[in-house]
Amino acid sequence: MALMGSPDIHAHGLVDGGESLVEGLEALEAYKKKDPAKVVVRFKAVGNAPIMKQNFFKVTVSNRFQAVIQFLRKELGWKAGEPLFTYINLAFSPAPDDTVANLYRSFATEGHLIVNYSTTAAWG
Amino acid sequence: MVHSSYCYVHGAEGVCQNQVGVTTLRAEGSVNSSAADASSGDARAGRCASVWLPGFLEMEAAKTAADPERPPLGRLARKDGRTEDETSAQNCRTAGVCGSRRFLEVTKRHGWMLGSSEGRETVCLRLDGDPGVRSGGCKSPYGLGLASKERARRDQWSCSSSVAMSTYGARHSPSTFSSPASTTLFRRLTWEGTVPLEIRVDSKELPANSNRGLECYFIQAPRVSYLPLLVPEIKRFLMDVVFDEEAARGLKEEDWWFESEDGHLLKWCRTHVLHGAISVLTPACRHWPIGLIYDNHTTSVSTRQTASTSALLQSAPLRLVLHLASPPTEKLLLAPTPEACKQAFMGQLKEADFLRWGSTKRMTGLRKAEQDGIWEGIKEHNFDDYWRVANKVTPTTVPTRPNSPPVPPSSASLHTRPPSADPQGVPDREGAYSVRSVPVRLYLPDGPVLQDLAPPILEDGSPNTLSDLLSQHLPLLFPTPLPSAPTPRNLGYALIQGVLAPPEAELAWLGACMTGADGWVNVCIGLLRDR
Repeated sequence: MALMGSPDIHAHGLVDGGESLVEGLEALEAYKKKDPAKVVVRFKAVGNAPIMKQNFFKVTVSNRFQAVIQFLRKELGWKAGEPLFTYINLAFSPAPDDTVANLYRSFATEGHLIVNYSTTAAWG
Repeated sequence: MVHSSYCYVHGAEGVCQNQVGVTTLRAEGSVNSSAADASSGDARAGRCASVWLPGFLEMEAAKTAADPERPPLGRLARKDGRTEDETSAQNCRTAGVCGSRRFLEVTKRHGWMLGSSEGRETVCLRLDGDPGVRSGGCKSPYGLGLASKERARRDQWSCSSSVAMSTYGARHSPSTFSSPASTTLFRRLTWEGTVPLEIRVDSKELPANSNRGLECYFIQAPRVSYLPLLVPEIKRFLMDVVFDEEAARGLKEEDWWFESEDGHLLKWCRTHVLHGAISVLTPACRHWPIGLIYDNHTTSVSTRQTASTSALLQSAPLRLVLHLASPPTEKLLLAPTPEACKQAFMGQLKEADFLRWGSTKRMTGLRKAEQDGIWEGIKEHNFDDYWRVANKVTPTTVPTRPNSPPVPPSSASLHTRPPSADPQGVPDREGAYSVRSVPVRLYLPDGPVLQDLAPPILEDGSPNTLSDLLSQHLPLLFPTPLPSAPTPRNLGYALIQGVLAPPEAELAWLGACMTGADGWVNVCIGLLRDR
């Protein structure tokens, strides 16, 4: 009797995946599809950082946070070398490859994801 | 009254699993039980058996030397200088817990290690026949004879090829620790978990006059550590054995970066199909814990249309290519330095803290020395140093429901459980079941990574389990049981710290006992195959 959810391993040689694997691969494909939905990101300046005229932006959820940082740089007109620190909810700095979808689901308040930005490291 | 537990024997015939009733054990690692299927009880010398006590789970079983597909790994060398031919299975580790209180490990030399409720490792030497016969032993309620001898130092095994041996790193021995016993036990298991890495310098980048052919380094790396932290050890080896001193003078450690090499298998890829034996190089996510990189590789292999058995048996070294210059900083997103790694690590700890409590005051409340100390604990791989600080931010579990199973009558127990072992009753406000959300992420084989709020208790008051989480987020792979279809067929499995996680594992418990050093429960999802 095999435990539910355990990988079963055959004897030597090549093992064909079979139907289960094909179904599984199809499921994975479905989950890889990029979600086109957008959510609202709200940028909030901290300390001496300049406040932008426009602070609310709609961002596609499949974007990584890195893309949000780059977008912010562009909006601020800052070049790559200039220090820019970003935080969520004044609490922590997310990994750049974290997706907006994940951050929004976990940390959104009142319908938007708050991204604080500053010229110096504050909570990092 | 009989408890269900599982016997798991790994051998050349493949995995067989069984349910055993009362657990009694024979020497040579076989399992005998009144309710067992006899065919599964056989385990020859050198193989490892592990026994699941209620709610337990096995981490990994060894491969036997009888597997012709596996290349010989050379000699195993013990730290005390004695060597032993690798004629039988290698490291055999078992682990695991899901809200229960013991686990059993069978070592390669047929020593048994049982984590007891006292929180100490006890060693039982070769059981022959009836455990009760063991002199000086005491019977656990589960009918196992134990010799309560505390191990002073865990044996350390290095895996060697003719090329290199990882003697350059030092490991600290575990010591007793005084928080709830079973929690500590499994934290230590997680901490001590290692994975085999095979690191090869890109031959195009070898400095002049290098000793070619030797630039391959094998290491059993801690799951909770990070690739940049391995660089000093690898560098020492390369400088000693491979590089010419003059030629290597210009090398800068901070430019070193890793790429993972997918072995010669057909890789099914969405945008294009790669034919033939192609090495697919992808930048190894340097800021993922090593264990996560390894498990993610394991689950990627599980998606191959056709794969060799050895690839599927999950204990092959992960092959990485080490580059000595020109890190592709855009792709890597973060600098490949230990400093950047530390920053990323602290960020993850804070994010986990924030998810749990809605504030990071526990993390920000740490003194600078403590924050540095937690990272030092990882660098030095010192369990005590790490947990001295981590205990202030990681919740522990205190069972809120009485969940001690009744004692099986056939093992009339002489052992009485210490009263402190299983505290019941008052829920801990700071505890794992009181968090807002358990920090957990789901890693699909080739992405994406999914993160969402995961409350420890569901609306109906029942604990949130791994199965609930998987059905909620990946219903195509883990269909929800319905009255019309109470046992649906899962297409996938979940790997946490290399352990096959049972669906009934409680998220709160996982969040207290099976997190990585950064506070996150990383669940890697793999695909199952037809039997």
